[in-house]
Amino acid sequence: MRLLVVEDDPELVSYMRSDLVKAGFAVDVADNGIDAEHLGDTEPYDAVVLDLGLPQKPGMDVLHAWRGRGNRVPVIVLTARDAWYERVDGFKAGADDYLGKPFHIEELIARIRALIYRRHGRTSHRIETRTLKLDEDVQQVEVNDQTHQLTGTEFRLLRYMMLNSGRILSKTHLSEHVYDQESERDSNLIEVYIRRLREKIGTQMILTKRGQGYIFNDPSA
Amino acid sequence: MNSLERSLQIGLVSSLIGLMFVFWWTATLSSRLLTESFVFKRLEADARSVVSIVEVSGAVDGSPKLAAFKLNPAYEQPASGYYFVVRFDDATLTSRSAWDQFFDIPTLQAGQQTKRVALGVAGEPLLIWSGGYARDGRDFTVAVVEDIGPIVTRLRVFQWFSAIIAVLLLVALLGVQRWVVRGSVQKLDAIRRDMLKLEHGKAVSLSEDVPSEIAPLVKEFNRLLRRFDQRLRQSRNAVGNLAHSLKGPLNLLLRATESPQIGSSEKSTIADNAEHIRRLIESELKRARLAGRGTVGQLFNVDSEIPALIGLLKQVYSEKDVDVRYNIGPEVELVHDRQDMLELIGNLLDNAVKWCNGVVMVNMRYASGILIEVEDDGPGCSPEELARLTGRGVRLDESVAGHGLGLSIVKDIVDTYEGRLTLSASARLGGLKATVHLPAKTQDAG
Repeated sequence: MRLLVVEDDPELVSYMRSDLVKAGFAVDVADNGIDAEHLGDTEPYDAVVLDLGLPQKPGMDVLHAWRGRGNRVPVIVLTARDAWYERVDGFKAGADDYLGKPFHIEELIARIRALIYRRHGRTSHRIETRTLKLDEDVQQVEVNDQTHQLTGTEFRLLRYMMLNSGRILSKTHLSEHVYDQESERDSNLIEVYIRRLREKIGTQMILTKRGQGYIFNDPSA
Repeated sequence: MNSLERSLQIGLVSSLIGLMFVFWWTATLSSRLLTESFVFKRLEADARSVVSIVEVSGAVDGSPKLAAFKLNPAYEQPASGYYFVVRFDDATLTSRSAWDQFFDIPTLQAGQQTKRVALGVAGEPLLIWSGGYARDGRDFTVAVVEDIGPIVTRLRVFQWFSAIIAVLLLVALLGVQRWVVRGSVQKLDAIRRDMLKLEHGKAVSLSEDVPSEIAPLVKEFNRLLRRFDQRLRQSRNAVGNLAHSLKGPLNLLLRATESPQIGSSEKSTIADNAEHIRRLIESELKRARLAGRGTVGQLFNVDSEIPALIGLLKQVYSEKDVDVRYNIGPEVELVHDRQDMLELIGNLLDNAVKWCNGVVMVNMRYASGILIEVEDDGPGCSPEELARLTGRGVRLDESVAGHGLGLSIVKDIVDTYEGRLTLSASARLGGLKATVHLPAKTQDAG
């Protein structure tokens, strides 16, 4: 899962980034409205955390511009005023959720997860198949009562594939959603991680479509 | 009542009535005087004719008599209305027309003249011209009398006629004048209508197309409106910026408590105080942002904002399947300040959606002000709780968990608008029912 965090307070951003990365997200940061708008339009984010009080371009205008161009990326609005008119304006501009400052990071993470699940048409807050259970808090996977610890990248990759099960996912697509902008994005690395995942959860879960990519599929489901 | 229109009307009506009366009276008096002087002139001429036929000497018995010259035949005809009397010390000669009528004639020296108005035996008005003469050593007085009854009758007809003309003129002038005054006052009425529109949010300023006498007032009023609006926006911006700049550091403070280097007692001290500061900032800034009644900023458009609010709440509480039904009465279109109303209704709805089991009802209608009812099918409150919630001076932020800050700000807004907040049990849904009444902006004193 890759996030864009738009916030101009550098200290707050550094905390948020480290906490969100720990929670298993690839995080890009923009500290002004112009950059945020550009990034949101060019990178395939799974969710955006958008502060409204931004230099250069107000958050509300950025959101408006995205929705005007048909960019439906899920957006959580952060507001310092925490006023209803701001929420209503945000709703009209196309925001998906709101969080008043100050907030606990756990609250933000829970909202981001809920929003992403909702976007993937899930009502349950658990990611699991008949034989596979992903624990997001400790980043472990349980296969047939056997628990495996996952590395950050493995966790991000598996979660993304499970949320998009049944879809063909190219290596480029996967690397775009698993790594942030600054990471070295070598799509061959994806092959390495897929192999490691197969070692942990079994080979039949992730199928290779030659020349196209991978599909996550639980054959027992 | 201090009404320009009334005082103008009263002044104009009374002066017009006075004017018309003077006109009628002058016409009456002058026609009368003119007639009299004309008649007296003729009587004087007749008197001279009478004098010319008076024979004093030469008579056998020495008594005076009248020569047999013909005078105006009317003097010969009995009761014709034309009479004369010639009076000597010892004798009186009268025209044949006079018969035995007696006229009270003064005795005048030669050269003296009098003019008199008297009444005849039948009450008819008489003009009597008398003059003193002397001939051959004898003094006598000649009086010529005319019954002006017929002339007076005709004069009366003229007077009636002029009175009717005067009344007609009066009525016509009153009509015109009323129309003129109405027209002028109507221009002031336009301002009153504008004020009403302003109140209902259908206008943001008064039209400056007004009579020059009150244009300065209207312009000044508009200037104040603009200024007020500007002030409100400035202070809201300032408040917003303050909130923004305070909450960043507060967030970091909260985050710092999660550090493992801090002991648990310090941790809770910092966290509790940070939370306390946050609540203080929240409630005070929300209060500071209130616009209150009579503002002219952006107004609350009921038909578009209520569905947006409901949509927003459904999104926020997406894990809950809530049916929010709303009903907006007629005449409720644009009311009060948008931010204030969103804060008010937003908080009420938020509480309702938060506590409901699945149904929330919103009802807005006009009842000498705006009446807003929000009810839910949640657990509601016990009677004791309800009493405590609506008690005067209760700071709700301290009193109820869950309903906390939201209801507190609702109460502040209601107070600012001099309205009333009632909490009761919902008869229809069984949960809590919040009723807010915000009275119309201006109570007409008249």
